[in-house]
Amino acid sequence: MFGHQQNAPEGLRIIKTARGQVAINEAAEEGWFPLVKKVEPSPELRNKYICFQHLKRGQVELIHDFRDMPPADYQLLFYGEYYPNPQEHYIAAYLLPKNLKKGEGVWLEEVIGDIVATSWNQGNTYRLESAAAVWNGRDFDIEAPEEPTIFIG
Amino acid sequence: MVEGILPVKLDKSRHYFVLFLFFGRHRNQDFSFMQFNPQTKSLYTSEGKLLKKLHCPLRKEWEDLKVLPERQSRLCEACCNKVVDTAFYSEEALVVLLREKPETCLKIELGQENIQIL
Repeated sequence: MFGHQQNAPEGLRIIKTARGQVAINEAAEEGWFPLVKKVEPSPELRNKYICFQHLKRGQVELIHDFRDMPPADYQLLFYGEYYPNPQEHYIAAYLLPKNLKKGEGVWLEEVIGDIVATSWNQGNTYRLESAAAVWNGRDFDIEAPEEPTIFIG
Repeated sequence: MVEGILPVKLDKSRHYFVLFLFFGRHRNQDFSFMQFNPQTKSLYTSEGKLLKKLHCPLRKEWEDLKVLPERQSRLCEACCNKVVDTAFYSEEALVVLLREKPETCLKIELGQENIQIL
């Protein structure tokens, strides 16, 4: 996804992710060792919305920022939640280079599990897309950041 | 103000219907809301045009920055750049600023009034 490599801190090796059996097996043929994981949705990850409809024209307006109100002449239909990260593949794998050392810090370009990166009370929860992690010899210990509410850049 | 009725389930057998009132900010009024996606850290105009994608390679926090006499910005002493607090800027002013200096660093806080969170 755009920008992930740019966000990797200097000095950290970037670990790629392969999704689905075909991509995983292709990576294995290229010499990577896939650390395979289930892809399972987390109940913590939820996007909220309110659905409004124009009284005469029938057009629908969705609001995700609950501070907002729809334009005039819209009536409220319902409130809902949905899982924001549906995946095509139910397995994925971090592609391990052969010389990965225990204790080495890395950058996971695409985090496989659902970790909440940011949430706020007027809207959605946001998933951690990339993260720093440490290889412990068997798996990655992901350094989940404190959920920021202030963004700088 | 918008009225609405939402079903609220308080126990297994009964639903209660709650009348609630929306008090909030209207879209499409005289002022426009910039839009921010916290997941991609992308800031857009009210029309959906990308203004800037926020990224700090030094991972600075707002509290790390030097407070200046002007409230609208703080100084990053690591890169000697001012970081502009977008809460004090209208969309029009920010568009002009970023057109003149695209490398300007921004601060965005969830919940600030002039931004709609995607």
